[in-house]
Amino acid sequence: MLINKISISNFLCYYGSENQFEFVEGLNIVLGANGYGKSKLYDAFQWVFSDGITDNAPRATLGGVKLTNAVKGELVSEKAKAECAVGDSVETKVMVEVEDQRNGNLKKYQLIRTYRTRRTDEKTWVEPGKSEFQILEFDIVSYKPVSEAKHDDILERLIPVDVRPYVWFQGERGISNLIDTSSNGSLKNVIKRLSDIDRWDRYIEVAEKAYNTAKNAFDQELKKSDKNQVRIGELQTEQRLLETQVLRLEEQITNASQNQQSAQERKDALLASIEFAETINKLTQARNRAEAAYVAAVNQSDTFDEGLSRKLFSDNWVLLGSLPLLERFEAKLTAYDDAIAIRKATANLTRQVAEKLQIRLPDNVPEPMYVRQMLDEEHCKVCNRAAPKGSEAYDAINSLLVLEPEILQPERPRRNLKPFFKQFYVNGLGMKNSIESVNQRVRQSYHEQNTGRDRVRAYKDEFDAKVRELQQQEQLSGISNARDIVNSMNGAVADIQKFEGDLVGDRTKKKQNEDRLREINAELSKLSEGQVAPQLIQKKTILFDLMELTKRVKKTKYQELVQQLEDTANTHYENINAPTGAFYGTIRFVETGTPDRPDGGYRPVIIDNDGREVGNLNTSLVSSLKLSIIMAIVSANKTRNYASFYPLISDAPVSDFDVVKAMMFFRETANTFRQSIVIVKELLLEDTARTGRYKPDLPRLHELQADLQATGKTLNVYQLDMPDGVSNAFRNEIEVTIQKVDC
Amino acid sequence: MTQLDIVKSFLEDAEIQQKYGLTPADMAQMTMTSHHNTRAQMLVGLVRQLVNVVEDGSTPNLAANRLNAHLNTTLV
Repeated sequence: MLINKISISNFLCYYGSENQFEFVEGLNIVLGANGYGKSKLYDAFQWVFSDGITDNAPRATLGGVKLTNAVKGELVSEKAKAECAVGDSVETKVMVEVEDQRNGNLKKYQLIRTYRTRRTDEKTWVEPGKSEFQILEFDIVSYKPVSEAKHDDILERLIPVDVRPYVWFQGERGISNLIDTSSNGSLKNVIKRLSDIDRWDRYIEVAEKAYNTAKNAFDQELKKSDKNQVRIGELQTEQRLLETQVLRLEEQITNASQNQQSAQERKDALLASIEFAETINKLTQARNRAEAAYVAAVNQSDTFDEGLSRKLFSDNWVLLGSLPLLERFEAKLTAYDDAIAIRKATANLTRQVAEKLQIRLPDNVPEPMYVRQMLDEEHCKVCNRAAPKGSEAYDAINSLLVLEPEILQPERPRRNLKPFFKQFYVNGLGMKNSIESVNQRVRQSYHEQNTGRDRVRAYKDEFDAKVRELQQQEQLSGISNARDIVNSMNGAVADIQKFEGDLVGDRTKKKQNEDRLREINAELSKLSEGQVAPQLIQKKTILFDLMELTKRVKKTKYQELVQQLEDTANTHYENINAPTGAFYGTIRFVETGTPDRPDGGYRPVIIDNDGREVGNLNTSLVSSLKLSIIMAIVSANKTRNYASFYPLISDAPVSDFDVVKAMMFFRETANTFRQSIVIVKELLLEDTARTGRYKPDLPRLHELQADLQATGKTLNVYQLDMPDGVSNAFRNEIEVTIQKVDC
Repeated sequence: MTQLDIVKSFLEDAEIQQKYGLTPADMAQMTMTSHHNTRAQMLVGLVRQLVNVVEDGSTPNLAANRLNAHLNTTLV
């Protein structure tokens, strides 16, 4: 297939209908700086052929695309949408014009994919989940529609689905997905998909069937024999048993191999995302740990805060500042004691006075009752003489009565509070030290509280940081099921190992059985001499040899293919790297498994002049290694000759290369592929006359064109540009223009 | 890959050459109709027939029957 033209209308950043590239047989380079629509041009091809655009998520698998029903209105130019009136529609359309020549028969097609979206109000669009696809075939004077039933066949003939990822790939990830240098299955898959190795399986199948037919005829004849019947019977029984076992083992080997392949494919599909998933998994674990630490710190802080309230009482904080009260209490208690003592002394004194008063009469003075009696009788009984009222004696007696002290009533007993206050005071004294240090303890506790809160804040910050880091990683990778991916990867790796073990065991048993079958065959042939027609024995023998031969030849052919692939990859590798002057080594496909028991897989490595594997290759060497293998895949297979049939379309394949190496890649690509369309940002220079714009590096392009002309190749260059003043930062302004570069 | 190339791919196998007395010189001069010693000729004929039937696109059963029929004829 040759691609003659692509016309793009309102597709992603290609606004309007004037976007057209015309391609030539040879090297087509499309130059575009970042954000100028390089990948969108690649997507335009993808969309027409696959009804999808490249899935940029790391989880995407080999050649993975996001289909129209997933992207819908995202396909449509934002600028065209911005200009669309309510009620109107925008049509997105990409047309690829191709020609295909096989066996002298030239056919031309137009492949057209269209998507329409209608605006129902300012913010709402009707976005169907399907695009329309048409193939038109050139018929003498014009293009005419081809029935839909033929679409798949035509597309498959133009470029088979299994070939497409190897000649159409995007950027470093696209290359990495194709050739995984760490996978032993990667090259095996490549060889299986892109070579005619399967043809040798057909030879094996036919030879096996032919042999079985001959063997059945031989066995039938042998049964009729009358000599050595017992031994022949034993051998035939064992033979049938072993054959059944071999068949069963082959079936098991096929199943195990398919299962291993399936697990390998699962692993390969996850390879792009496993690194992200593992990172996300680790970040998730780190986030969980940070969350647990944060929650623990919050709980600890809350518990501490609750403790602070309790400490108001349990640690006497409530008594903070009460020391003066204690001192006042002490003073009051002392005063109380003094007051009690004074009162007691006073009372004592009073009583003594009273007592003294009550007994102030001399011993010979009668008691008041006798005084009153004497007054009543007006007679002094002391001196026993009359004392009439009004007499001096009466007055003298009466004076004794007047001075009679008042009988003091005994004081009512009072409750003795001293022990109570004493105890109170003693208790207070007991807390004195504690009260004195409350301030210090409060300060200490508040310090601890602040430390705890600082810790909570630090854990919160760490937790937030982990959450942000995780979210960023998830957004960057588009992975939201990291644990599933990691689990699936672990499962796939475990499956690969398990099935590998099964395969080794089954293959060993099968070989033992086959060896024994050969011995039985040889013995039966000997026993059959004279019993079975010689032609039958000869036929069986030669068909057995043929069957074994077909198996050996397939193995040899496979090894030859690997060698051819390695040789061709080295040619491309050397052509790309030698002019840089830096070390690049040699590609070697190392058989995987063990030396005694290779597993049929190969791993590409770089070796130095001493044959040692070189580790820690820089990305430029790794990319050139992979690109060389891809070129080798395409050009090494002379039978299918992909380089002639299918154009290379690659977006940013040389992003890891310096300009010298990129130039070598362009030359190598031109020499390998009949047609190549390479979309790159290299060979562009800043345009000093225009702000933020670029211009082609014409001296290098002239140099490249001169080189290509010398080998009869054509160079065709376009530049993706943008009108001055338009920013590619605003999607509804983006408008890519296409300039043909005159080299 | 021509049918002769495929036939040669089979007959270049060292083990089969040794067993059937084929030499590198035989291989170099081989055509689709060249003759060899009787034993080798039988194998070469069988391989040619195998390549014919497989490349013709015959079904495996039909192809196997044709190989048996071919040997029935040549081994008489």
